[in-house]
Amino acid sequence: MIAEKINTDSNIPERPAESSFGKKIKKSTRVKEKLIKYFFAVNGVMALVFIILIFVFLFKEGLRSLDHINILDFIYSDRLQTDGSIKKVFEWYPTSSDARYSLIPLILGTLFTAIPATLISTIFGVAAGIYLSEIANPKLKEFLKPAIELFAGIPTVVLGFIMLVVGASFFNDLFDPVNRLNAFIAALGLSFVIIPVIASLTEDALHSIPNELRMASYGIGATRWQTIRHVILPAAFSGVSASIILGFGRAIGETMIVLMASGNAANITTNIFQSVRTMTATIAAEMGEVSQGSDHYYSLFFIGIVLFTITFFLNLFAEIIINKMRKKNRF
Amino acid sequence: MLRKIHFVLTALLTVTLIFFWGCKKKTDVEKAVITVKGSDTMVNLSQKWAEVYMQLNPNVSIQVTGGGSGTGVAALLNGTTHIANSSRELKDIEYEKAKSLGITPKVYNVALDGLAVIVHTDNKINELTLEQIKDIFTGKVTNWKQVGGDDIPITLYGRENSSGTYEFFKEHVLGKDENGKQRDYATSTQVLQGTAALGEAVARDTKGVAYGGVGYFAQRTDIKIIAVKKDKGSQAIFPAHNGKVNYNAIWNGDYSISRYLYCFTQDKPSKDVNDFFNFILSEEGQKLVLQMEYIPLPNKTN
Repeated sequence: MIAEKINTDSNIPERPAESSFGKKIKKSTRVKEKLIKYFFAVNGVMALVFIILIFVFLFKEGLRSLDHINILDFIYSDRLQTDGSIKKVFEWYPTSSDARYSLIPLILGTLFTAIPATLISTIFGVAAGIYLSEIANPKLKEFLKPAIELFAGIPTVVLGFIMLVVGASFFNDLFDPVNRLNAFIAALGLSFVIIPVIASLTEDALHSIPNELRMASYGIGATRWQTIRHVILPAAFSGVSASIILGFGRAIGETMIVLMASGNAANITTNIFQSVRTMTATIAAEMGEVSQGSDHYYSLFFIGIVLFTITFFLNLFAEIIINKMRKKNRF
Repeated sequence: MLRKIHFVLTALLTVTLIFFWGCKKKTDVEKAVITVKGSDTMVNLSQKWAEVYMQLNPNVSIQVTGGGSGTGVAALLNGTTHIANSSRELKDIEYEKAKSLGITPKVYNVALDGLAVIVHTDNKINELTLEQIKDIFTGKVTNWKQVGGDDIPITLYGRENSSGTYEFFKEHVLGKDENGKQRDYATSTQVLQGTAALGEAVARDTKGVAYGGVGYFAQRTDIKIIAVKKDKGSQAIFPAHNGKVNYNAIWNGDYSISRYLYCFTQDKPSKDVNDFFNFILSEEGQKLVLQMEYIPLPNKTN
């Protein structure tokens, strides 16, 4: 061992005496370098500028809804009952002659598809991530990881269509649900998209755990399962939870699957086998034909603001966690 | 040297491209362009008209896009389209907007559309009164038992709230309540994208009921079209039977749920647009309506 080390030390190749750094750089090359530098700088700034412009546009349009609609109307509206009493109703009904703009059924609908989808995907996604990082042999992993990531690239409209035609019929025969298209079907469809996200990010998180930890754990006689359970997972806890949060954010923002598979009835319900309507599906279904400049139009932008805020903070949260983990794992 | 050759080549290429671009523009100018925008229900029909008309008149180019009746009217008022397709009449608010822009929209009746109410083939029910259909879609009736069917709950399917079909059915069938307020669909109505999706959903759901253009459903055997009675005493009328649309009933208004389809233009249509309308309203144009499974205007194709 020692002899080997000395041997390798003496084998270090000497630096070439004249490196290219010493040469005088041609003027044209210098100009070119500068141009390329500016080109990339402009592109980088552009990406940021566009995002800020989208942000400004969204807020500008969305907040105009508050000129005509009271902010409380986005939560509930008072409705005169037939017996003369006034009842608070939570309904999204912008095209009615007395329009109701409560976002509560939409927000609950979003959560009612996104949370079950995240639960399902957490189980399968984290398991897949552990398998990829800790158990699968490198050759298999080289094939499996791109395959899983490829899965995330399936157009969501295709997944939605599959759930609409095949999935919904299958579960209709199996459970006899209240509605054929329901929150559960949508959640299942969503998890096809989120499992790859969680699996891939979990694998990254586990992979970044220094090998010394594994070696030390095996060294004191822990089995592979014990190592994963008591050493790797706790060490990567923040990374794994960040992957779940990102998956949740994706579930909230996903449009096409919920639009096709959730049934889109703005119910407030606790039954997962009933139709719900999400914020994204509402925007997608109604923005197409709404007359521009109407209250309905601006209130759709307001939904956009709510949606944007939720996903923005989820992503921010996940980003902070991941950054913290990176710092922590630098031994 | 090499650089010079590069420069010359690039310059040549650019000049050639510009030259070809110029040529292309020139031929475009000679062709009259008509843009048609609006109702999704009418896109297929409009495209058919455009297709046949362009074959007859190669110097006219007609571009048809959908987007919905509201979008079409908005585009007409903005001046970004020549013709707006609409499956409903102009709203008061749209008339006002047109007036403020100094436009008097011209209205053409171009065809008819009948809406059929459809259920699953296992459903026992064959006919309903308008009143019963209204109660079903407003959520007053929630079980098929209440209208003479089996004891199973009703699942409502409907269109997105900005489609012309949605509005037509709402105004025409749901109507207004005692206080003169427009009735709303039940909030439990499931919203699907497009009439075809409604057909698919009802074909697979024994509890389901939906509405949509007769032409879409007439030939389908996996769903059942309901006969509609104007009121309790009157005769039940099928909008389509044995795969064939019942034209007479729709023309003379015996079938309750039917509507006209419209085209709007700004004040004075140009000669090209006018010629196109003459074609649409001609016997040949109305034959295409029939072919596309809409209902042609009466007395045009006898």
